[in-house]
Amino acid sequence: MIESLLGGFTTVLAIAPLLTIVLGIVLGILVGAMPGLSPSMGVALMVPFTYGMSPTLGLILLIGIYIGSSYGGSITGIMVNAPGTPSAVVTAIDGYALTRKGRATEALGTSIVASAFGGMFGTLILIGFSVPLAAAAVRFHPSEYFAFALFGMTTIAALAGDHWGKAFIAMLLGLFIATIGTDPISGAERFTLGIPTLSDGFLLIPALIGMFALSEVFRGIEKGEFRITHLPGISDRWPGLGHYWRLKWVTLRSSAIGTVVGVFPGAGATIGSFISYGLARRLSREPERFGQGSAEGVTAAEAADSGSVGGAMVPLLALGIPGSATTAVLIGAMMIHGLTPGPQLFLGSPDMIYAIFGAMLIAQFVLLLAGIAGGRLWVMVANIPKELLYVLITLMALIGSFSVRNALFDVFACFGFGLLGWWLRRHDFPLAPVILGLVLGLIAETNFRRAIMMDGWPVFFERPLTLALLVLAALSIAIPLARRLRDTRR
Amino acid sequence: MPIRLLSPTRLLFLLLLLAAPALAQESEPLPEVPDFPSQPIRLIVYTSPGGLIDVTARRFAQLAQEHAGHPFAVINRPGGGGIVAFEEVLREPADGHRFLAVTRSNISKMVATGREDLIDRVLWHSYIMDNPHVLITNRESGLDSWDALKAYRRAEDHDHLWLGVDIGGVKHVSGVRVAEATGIDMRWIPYGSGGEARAALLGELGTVYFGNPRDALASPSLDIVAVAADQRLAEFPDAPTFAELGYPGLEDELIWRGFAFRKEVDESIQNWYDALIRNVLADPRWRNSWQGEAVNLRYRGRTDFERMVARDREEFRTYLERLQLLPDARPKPGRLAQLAQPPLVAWLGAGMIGVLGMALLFWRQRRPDVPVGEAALLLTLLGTVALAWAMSVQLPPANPVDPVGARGIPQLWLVGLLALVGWQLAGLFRPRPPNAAQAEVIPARLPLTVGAYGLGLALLPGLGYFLVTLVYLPAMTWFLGYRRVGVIAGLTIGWLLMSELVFQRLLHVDLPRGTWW
Repeated sequence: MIESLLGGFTTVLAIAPLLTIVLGIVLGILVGAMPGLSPSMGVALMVPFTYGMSPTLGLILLIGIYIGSSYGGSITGIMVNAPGTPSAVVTAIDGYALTRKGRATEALGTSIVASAFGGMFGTLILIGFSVPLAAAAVRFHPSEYFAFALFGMTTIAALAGDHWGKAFIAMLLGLFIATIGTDPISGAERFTLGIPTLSDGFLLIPALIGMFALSEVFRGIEKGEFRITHLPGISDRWPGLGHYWRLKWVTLRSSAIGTVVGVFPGAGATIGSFISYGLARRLSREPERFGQGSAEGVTAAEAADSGSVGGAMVPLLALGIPGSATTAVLIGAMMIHGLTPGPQLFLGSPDMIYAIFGAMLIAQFVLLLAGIAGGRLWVMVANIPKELLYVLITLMALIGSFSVRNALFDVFACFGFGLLGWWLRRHDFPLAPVILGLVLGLIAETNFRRAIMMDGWPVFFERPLTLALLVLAALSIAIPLARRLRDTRR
Repeated sequence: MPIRLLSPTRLLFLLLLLAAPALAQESEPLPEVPDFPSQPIRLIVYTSPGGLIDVTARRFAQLAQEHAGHPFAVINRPGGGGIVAFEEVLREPADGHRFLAVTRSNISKMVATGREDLIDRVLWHSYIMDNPHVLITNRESGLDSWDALKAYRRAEDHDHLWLGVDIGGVKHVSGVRVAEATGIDMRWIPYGSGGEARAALLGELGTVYFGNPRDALASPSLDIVAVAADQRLAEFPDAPTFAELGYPGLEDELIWRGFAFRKEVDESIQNWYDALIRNVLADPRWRNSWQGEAVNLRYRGRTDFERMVARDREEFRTYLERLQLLPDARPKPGRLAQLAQPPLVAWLGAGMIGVLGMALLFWRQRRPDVPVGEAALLLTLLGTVALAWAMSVQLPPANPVDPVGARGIPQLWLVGLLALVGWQLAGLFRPRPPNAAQAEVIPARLPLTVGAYGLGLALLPGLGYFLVTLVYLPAMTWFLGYRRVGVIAGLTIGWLLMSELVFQRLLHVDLPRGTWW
């Protein structure tokens, strides 16, 4: 395999592939940074440009965009609290807190290195273990997916801060909003009020932009925060090697979590980010800094997010099954290029597979360089007068929410979520749990019902992995809750 | 090994591209239509990128662009199983610059959602291909033949678990028909996507995946055990047809793909598309691109296509009614639930807000230490929970196959919300120091900003994005206190230019255009 991989590197180390990787990464970062444009949309937009390329080069370009956009979502999250992608919500929690403290460069630096490392880790796992991992992932019963989603919900413990009750209310609100739309099991319309656009429920992107970006603007205007503040005694520098070394374990752990979660079809990067953030807080020596501007928090979210790219490629290359929305587009692109993703690709075109592996590894270095170079530009956003920035964010929210499916409904939904977000924040309700509920709600419900339809209620107790995950989820929420109750009594 | 910019296939493609003028000479010339096409043509796909219809549209657009000598763009408008895409095409001018890539799924979805008006409002222009539905099994489960499958019994209350997508969709209805015809007692397990369902089959979690022949190509473990076609597929010669297995009458269980237009599109433009579509379908590259994918490439014109759509519509109506998946066929809710209709919900909501406002004013006087803003938020949440509960009782109840039902989980979340919000609310009324409640004054600039933004959004359908932005951007920056006129003007012009060039032209995001201006 090492020989094949070296062959792959040799293939990619030429002018055309290298330029393609650079182009893909840069375009991807721009796509990810633009609220409203998801990685899958970015990849789909570039598919027609690959028609005239060889399949290998075309795929390298598209995978470059995938990798770049997975990172790019964090930039606007960190700078203006407008996460470009759903998974960047978790990065924004501590990333934006750091920016508000005048440490945007530290947040961006932490994020890009974690992202590149996570991506590298995910790619290495993809190269080494794709077949056994994919074989294990397909055996995951819906009961396990449900238990997994429930475990993801326990991240609430990390997001709650001092407001447990409010955090739970926010998550339940998100979970309830996730039930709006067509019921995937019975086909019944739920809470749609006869509005056809609501048959698919509230889309995540407009909700995200409204909840975070618009509510931030409303809050800033309410507080009259128009001046650019340079906090005294804060030196905002690009972090040194020591900083990254201190974060080594959280980076490694989160990369592994992101990669593993990414392998499961339908799970996605957002769940990986939430789970690794929750775990990082539990295992941290400074859990109180989470939510207030913790580099560990940024690292946990970003490494998991980028690790999931390699993970999502596992079922695609090993089984021909898309692990995420973006890999579904990649499958389409492969079909357009006359390729059949799956084991046959390993047998029929091993050169191409190893060239893709080589390109994915090189792309992480390119991402690192592009991120560091671009970081100096992004930091300048903090110097834009707030009066201009606020107005531009409201316009970007309009375009971003509209562009998802060209529907004005989404623009109004975004505005509604913005007002709701502002109202909730005003009374110390954390917003991330709403997104946690929105992301996990449908996964938890459909898999819960699917599991019962397939094997009845006992399935939750008969399958050891399900039971173990459920117990783990129960403990993850019960222990911190018990601690908190004990502290309150004292 | 250095990477090849051009693989043999690409080289062939390039050669064919170079030979395009010669090909064009052989193909039917497109009729001249005055002022058409005058802008890029958009092929609207009703799914997210990556599905089979998306691939079909992209392959078509690639060749159509060449044959027409005019740019084609594929635009994905997922939502409502096609409702969003259909409505977009019907909303836009009938100038022929937008058309729909359609499949049989659209018919089942429109029938299932009570939006059959959309079927009537489009012209079913060209049927371009179909592929049969097939039963795919996992060889590792030992189900490698029809006989093995037929003999299999999974549980007491059902023989098989059939994994598929989209409840009430074309595959579900076809699956029900096949199961009935073959006497198999199956339970349909709907997955979010075909990929997830195939993964479950590979994990031996189900008996059968009901899908397209192409789905079986992904893994050597997957086997096609029966084909709903009149003859065996060249790509899967070992897979028998249902007729061969002794179950005739399932030959039409297929998924077709084609194109549809607004009915009002001029006849001359329809003829232009007729010629273009025939040219693309006759192109050897089109045929080559579908080789090995078990697809029947066959063209049917408007009359035949409309007839097929009408037949499918009747069939879906019959089956969806039997499956209780039609809006009118579902069990009628109780009297209380019937009261929870949207207009009444709106009135109740408005009344509730009024009552809450009065209650808060009362509390403000009696208990000045209670934070009114937070109490208002919690009471609004409580009211929403109550309304949502009233609506939830309308939903289909639990049944033996789905013991949780459509209402189970939403009601669980609502109960949780009710308990927690009630608890929080009670906490607000606990005695607290006199100065505990902070003044919650909202500066006037916030409601004004929010109001201006809301007004701008409300005016979008009438005035359009560009005019609204032209006024909103400079006015708001000025209102918020920024006074450098040159910067404001430059920013406004730059933003509008960026919107036009990047979003409108490059990314094909059709920013709202005004109907009044």
